[in-house]
Amino acid sequence: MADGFDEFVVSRGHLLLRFAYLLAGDRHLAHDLVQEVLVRAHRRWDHIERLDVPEAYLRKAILREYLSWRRRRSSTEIVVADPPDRAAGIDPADRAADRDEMWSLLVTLPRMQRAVLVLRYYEDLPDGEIAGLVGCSAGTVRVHAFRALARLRASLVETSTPSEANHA
Amino acid sequence: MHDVESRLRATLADHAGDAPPLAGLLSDVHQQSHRRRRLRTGLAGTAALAVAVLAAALGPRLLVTHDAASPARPAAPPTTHPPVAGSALVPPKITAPVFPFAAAPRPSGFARPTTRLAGGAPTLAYVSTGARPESITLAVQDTAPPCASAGDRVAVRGRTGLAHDEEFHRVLCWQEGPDQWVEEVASVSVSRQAMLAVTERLGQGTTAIDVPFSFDLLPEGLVLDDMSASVMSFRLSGEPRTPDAFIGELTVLLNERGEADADAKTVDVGGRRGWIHSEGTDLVLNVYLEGAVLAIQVPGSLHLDEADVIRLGAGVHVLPAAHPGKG
Repeated sequence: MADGFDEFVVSRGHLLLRFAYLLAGDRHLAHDLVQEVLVRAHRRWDHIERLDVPEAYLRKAILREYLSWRRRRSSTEIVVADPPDRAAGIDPADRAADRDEMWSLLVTLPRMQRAVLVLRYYEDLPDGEIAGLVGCSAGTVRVHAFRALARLRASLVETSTPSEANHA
Repeated sequence: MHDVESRLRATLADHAGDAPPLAGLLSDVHQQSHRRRRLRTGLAGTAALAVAVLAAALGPRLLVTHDAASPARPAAPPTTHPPVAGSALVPPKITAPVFPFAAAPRPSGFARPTTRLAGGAPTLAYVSTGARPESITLAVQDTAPPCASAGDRVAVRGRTGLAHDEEFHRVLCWQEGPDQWVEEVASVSVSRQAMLAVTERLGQGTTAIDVPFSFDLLPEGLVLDDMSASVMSFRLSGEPRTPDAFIGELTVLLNERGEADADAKTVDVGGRRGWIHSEGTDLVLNVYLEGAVLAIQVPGSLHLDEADVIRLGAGVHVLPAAHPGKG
């Protein structure tokens, strides 16, 4: 069991981390999200490994963990504290936020809206599939996406043409 | 529209490369998995541990009191009344835990130790300051941990302890008193001698665990289960401890940021702006503070309605020791 699990994490873990990072917009939280899901998966790996696509199962688990407010203790809280490489230095995400307006705006979106955008524009999933993942109807997915895009568009207009926005 | 979507797609693809590195993830998962397995085993039959120290004068609204009279003795759970339907909100009296030893001086290469209550166990942790992540963590509980059943016999503080090594860490445990066991877990790169050096330098006295919040009102029948600079979480009296904290618990945490759920309702929380929404049978209230968001999760089993939750939220006070967390 352990070998299969370790192999999976080594070969596919980076993709899970990317997905979690785009959802959370924060490297620490992304690490914790993935770790939390993998810790639980580790216990049941015999079962998960038999699924056709274990990675899809884990992505869904990451998404649900992200959408759930009901957090669990993070690794950095329960075992010890932040390893130095996480605690020190400037977070590349912070640098990215400074240099990329769109990324900065994404961070301000409600969690569900952001998740819908990541699933639609990074994972390229159709709305029906997104609906199944986040637990709502396809129509609601479209509403979330519409509101999120409208908010991004309005914010981009405001920041790019402040004088026009002021007169709007 | 098209421009925004294209830019969004490009931004996500671009930033995916900034994701955290894979290095260390596997060992973190194994460590955490092992820790939980031990916790699940060790928690069987464990009663709540609460060690008292002297009260700090935080006023009548104080939730947590300190009593120095019995610094190293486990006390009864602070409250014993089972939760009832429609639990009344009352001025709470809950005893704060402390780590029941004076902290040993930090070993060379390690930062000042930090304390927290984790799953009911007072915990003290040293984390390395160098490039290599190393840690030494001590947790105190009132029943024998699983590590007390086998291992190499070693002399610890004039007693006989048991030590063993695992793939990612070393474990040492010993019985300090009739109802007091200590489990020490360190990175495998930390020598057993270094672990013993820390234990030998634990002093008489206590090390405080910072209290982040005070409360005017709380439901009766709660037991403090977790506490750190950003969170206080209470399980219902009579409910077993679980390694999966915060689930089914009344949890108050301070976040760096937060957002309103799509279905959230705007409310006034004692003059502060907030949003409330339900998640299943739970109610979640977010209160916006200057530079942070106070989030309060109330499990449905407490049977509080929205008005109660808002009253509860209005009586939460962020203390100087609080530090916003992420997520």
